[in-house]
Amino acid sequence: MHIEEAVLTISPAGMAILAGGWGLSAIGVGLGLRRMDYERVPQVAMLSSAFFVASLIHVPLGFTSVHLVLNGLVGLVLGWAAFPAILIALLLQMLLLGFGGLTSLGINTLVMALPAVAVYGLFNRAARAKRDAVAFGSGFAAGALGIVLGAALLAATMFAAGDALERVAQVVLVAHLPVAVIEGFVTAAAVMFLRKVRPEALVAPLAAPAGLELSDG
Amino acid sequence: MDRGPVSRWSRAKRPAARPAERSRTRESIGPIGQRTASSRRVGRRTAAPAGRGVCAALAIFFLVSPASAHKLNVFAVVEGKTIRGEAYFRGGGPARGAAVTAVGPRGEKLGETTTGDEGKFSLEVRFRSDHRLVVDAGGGHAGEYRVAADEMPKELPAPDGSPNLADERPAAADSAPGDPAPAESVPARSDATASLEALRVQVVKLREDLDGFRGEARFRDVIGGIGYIVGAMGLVLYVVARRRIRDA
Repeated sequence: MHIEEAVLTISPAGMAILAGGWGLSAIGVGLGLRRMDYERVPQVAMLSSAFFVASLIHVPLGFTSVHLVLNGLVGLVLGWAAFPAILIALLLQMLLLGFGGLTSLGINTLVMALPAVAVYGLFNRAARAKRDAVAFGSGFAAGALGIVLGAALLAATMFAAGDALERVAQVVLVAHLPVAVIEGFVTAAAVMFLRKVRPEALVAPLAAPAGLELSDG
Repeated sequence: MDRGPVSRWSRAKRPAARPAERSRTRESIGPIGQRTASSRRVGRRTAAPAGRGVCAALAIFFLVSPASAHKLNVFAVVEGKTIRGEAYFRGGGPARGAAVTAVGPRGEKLGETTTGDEGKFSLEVRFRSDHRLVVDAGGGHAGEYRVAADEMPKELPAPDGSPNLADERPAAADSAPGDPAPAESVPARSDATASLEALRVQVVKLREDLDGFRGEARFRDVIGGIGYIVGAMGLVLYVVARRRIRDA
């Protein structure tokens, strides 16, 4: 799901996308930092680490391979704080593993963190439901949707940069469907685990005043 | 934002707090013995799902291939007035049907082609300038390779004015304009081409070896990356703690 910078630096439209990606990501990171409860800094760091490692777990798929992203899980737990968490993880992936590039860091952050925030808005409440089945289902949906939305954003980016539509649809969307299913199960398992061990981890990290955050758990 | 007094208050006045809260407050301020006891209890209670999670994680680790067939590698050499190159994914698979674009030093397009079934491509050189070859396999997978101008034959014109992509002259006509420097002797050329081909194969192999080596070095990178994240966390917490001490 990482866009290499070579893809976008060769056309003016690509350059515009790179700049826009940086701008929007900066806004997202600012929102995330402002809304982050500082009691949760360790949690943000832990999920950032998980995200950083997840991209090394590759699933072979025909001539290419896809890897876990975990942006659904990161978003489900962190909300807007997913932006700084994903930015740091992507920066380290770029520096240490050679994924993506410095100029495309902004658009990559946007492509993966925006679905994370969407997933938070859609499923965080359901993941805290009393019934296990509902929580499992929402965890699965969160993981799968994180990938599907991310792939859709990626496809839109490539299309805007001038790739042919059917090629984009084939390479990006179809390739990410299997990983969406896998990621759904991984996220659902993580949600069930968190419910048992640390239910407070799933409670809204944004706009929750310290001390009150457990009141609706 | 100051949590300390709040949680201490809740512990003193509300002993029958919810289990999650109780275990957390004890973990945060209770003595060490108590903390380990409570975490052990939590561990036992969730042993089954935790075990299942670990099994799932192990299964995923063994299912997937360790090699990352993700990064696109590009390699090219100049032979006469042709750039020959190939693009392959790290891990060995060729990049079939990928779009190859040659870009000049000022960002101008110098040529376009697509890779064949074996990931190979060739491109006529029309100007003697640095060529940046960008290979795009779609879906954000791309790689690039730089061919320097001094690898190209001297009789080619420099890219004066604005090079136009629509300007599709046959390659043979290229030697006529510009400075007609005499080419190297013809019989020596085929020999040179053969040894160049052998050299190219070797270099590609070397690059693949290098990629393999980079793949092995990855474990350290992962540990290092997690270390950086923990370090960043420590930095943030330090700043927050200082601010709180100053405010208190």
